[in-house]
Amino acid sequence: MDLSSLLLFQLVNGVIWGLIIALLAVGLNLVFGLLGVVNVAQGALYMLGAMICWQVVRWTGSYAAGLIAAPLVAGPLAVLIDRWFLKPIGHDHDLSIIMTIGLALVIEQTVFLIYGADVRAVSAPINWSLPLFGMSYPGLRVVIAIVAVATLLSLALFLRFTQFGLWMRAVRFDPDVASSQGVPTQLVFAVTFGVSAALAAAGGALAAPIVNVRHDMGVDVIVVVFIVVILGGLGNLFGSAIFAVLMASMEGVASTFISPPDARLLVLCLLAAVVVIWPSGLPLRGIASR
Amino acid sequence: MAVGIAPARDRIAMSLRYQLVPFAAILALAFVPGEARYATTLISEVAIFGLLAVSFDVAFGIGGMLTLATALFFGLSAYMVHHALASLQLALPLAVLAGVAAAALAALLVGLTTSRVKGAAFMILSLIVVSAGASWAQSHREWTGGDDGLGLDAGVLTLFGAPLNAIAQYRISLILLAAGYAVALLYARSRFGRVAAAIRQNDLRAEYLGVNVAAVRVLTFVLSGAIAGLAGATHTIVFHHVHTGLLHWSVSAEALVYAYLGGLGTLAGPLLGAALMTAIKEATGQWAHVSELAVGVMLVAVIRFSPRGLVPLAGLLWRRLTAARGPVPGCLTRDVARLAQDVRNG
Repeated sequence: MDLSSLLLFQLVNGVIWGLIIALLAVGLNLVFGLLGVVNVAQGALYMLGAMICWQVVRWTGSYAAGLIAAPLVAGPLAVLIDRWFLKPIGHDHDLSIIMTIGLALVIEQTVFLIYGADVRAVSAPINWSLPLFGMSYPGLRVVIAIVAVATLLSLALFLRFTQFGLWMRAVRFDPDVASSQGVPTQLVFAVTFGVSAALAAAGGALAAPIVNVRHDMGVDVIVVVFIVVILGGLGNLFGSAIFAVLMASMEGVASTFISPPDARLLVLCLLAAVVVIWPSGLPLRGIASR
Repeated sequence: MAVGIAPARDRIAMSLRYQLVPFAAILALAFVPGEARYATTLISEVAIFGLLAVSFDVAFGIGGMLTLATALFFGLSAYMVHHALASLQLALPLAVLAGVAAAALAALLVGLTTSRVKGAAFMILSLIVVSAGASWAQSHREWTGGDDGLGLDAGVLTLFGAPLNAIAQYRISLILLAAGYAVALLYARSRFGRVAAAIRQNDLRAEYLGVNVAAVRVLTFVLSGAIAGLAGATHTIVFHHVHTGLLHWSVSAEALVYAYLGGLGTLAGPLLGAALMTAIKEATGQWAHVSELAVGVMLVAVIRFSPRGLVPLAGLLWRRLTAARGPVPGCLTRDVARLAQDVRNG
């Protein structure tokens, strides 16, 4: 394999991983934009999605069933979490960060108690491959990318063209005014939280066939998600999706030349510099905000 | 004079005599006999994580900086002390000093570069810093030993030429705990500490009053890093072992749990939180990994039902029982006492 095709291969891999990260980041940002809550448990919900997918695949043998079940279980669960744990503390900024750290621990350790520390793999249901730059690229990853893009697009369409999407944008703009205009803000909060968790769980289910499924798989992913969200601008959905893909492909390309941990370190240092210079995200508001 | 921020002494609800309780407890614990190895190991663990929780409390409870970088300074100092003892053959006090200095220097660098960043962005930046450190350590196994870590020959632990046995190591951990706690307490009661609290409450107001906000934030952060470094040094002295897991951000999260459990901004609270949580973990530890779950459940329960932690809660109960007026016992600053009263009122 020559260098250019190896680079392209890593780049495509990076883009696909970035799309999964984007699902989590957009979910996180959706909740932050509406409630001002930084949900640290997003990584745990991602893990939960992967674990549900593994369990359903074990029961039914169908990856598609697992992919559908994960967000359907995690979404309503998150609505209950919001109602029982975050609403009572008034969605306070600092307290909710601490609360979601606690919730992440509870979710992770409960899964650990049930499933143990074994590394689980979800079997790849797709065996065809795509000819790409003179190599054969696994079809599974192509399908994952398509599902991720379709999910992100349908979220964008939902926000743009449905009544509920309009409410969500209105509440985000000004909850008090929206409420006085008859928007059921509490319902909007609950649904937003559910949608955010469903996105994370879908990300987990999509990642399940290409990563090791384990109770602690979300711990390091959440760091990447946070970085992406900050870079794209807190509350900026489009920005976080773009930066998820950019950062993951950057890391993929860098790891062609240096070891993967060094690539991670290099990207982290670059990003830290960006956050220090632009603490509230890159100045992209003009082109990327919506 | 720190530009008009320092209010009259009676307006600051600092009830010093309640802050002496931890010192009395530490002194009493020094008399635990050396044969009780189980107890001494456990108490040393409380000392380490208590210091770590105090470090977090200085940064967030007093300075208002929600940092997850505590583990970086903790692990760095643990490795530094290990290196100073094993390779450089330094005397123990010098090794501890080197560890704390390394942690403080790292905190200074991080503090200087992040002094403009606030709120959620600061938390995330500290998370980036600590993950960068952990992944660097993980990828240089030849120096750090990776997950397996590096062992320390207990023979190199000497003080003024005499080898340190287990009980001496235990008492040193208590001395370091008392020292770190005293420094944090002195800082909170100093003019700088009060200015730091003023910045936490309203940084814009402090800036208008002429306070150099960035400088005070950096100073608070360096102090927090140094105390985390003291915790790391204690870890190496007690456990003779360092590994890259010490640098993981989940260690910072643990310190945060203890601080919140005991009561943020009270300094004594984080110590109590560490003691309580270590006891719970030990009691549940026989069922593998239930202890981690217990930490999570406790954190969720405390935030849900008593968001200001146990020490302000206990102080309020005491106040109510004695029907006395004045400051709430154990609360360092007036705003914590006020918030605790808000919680009581509804």
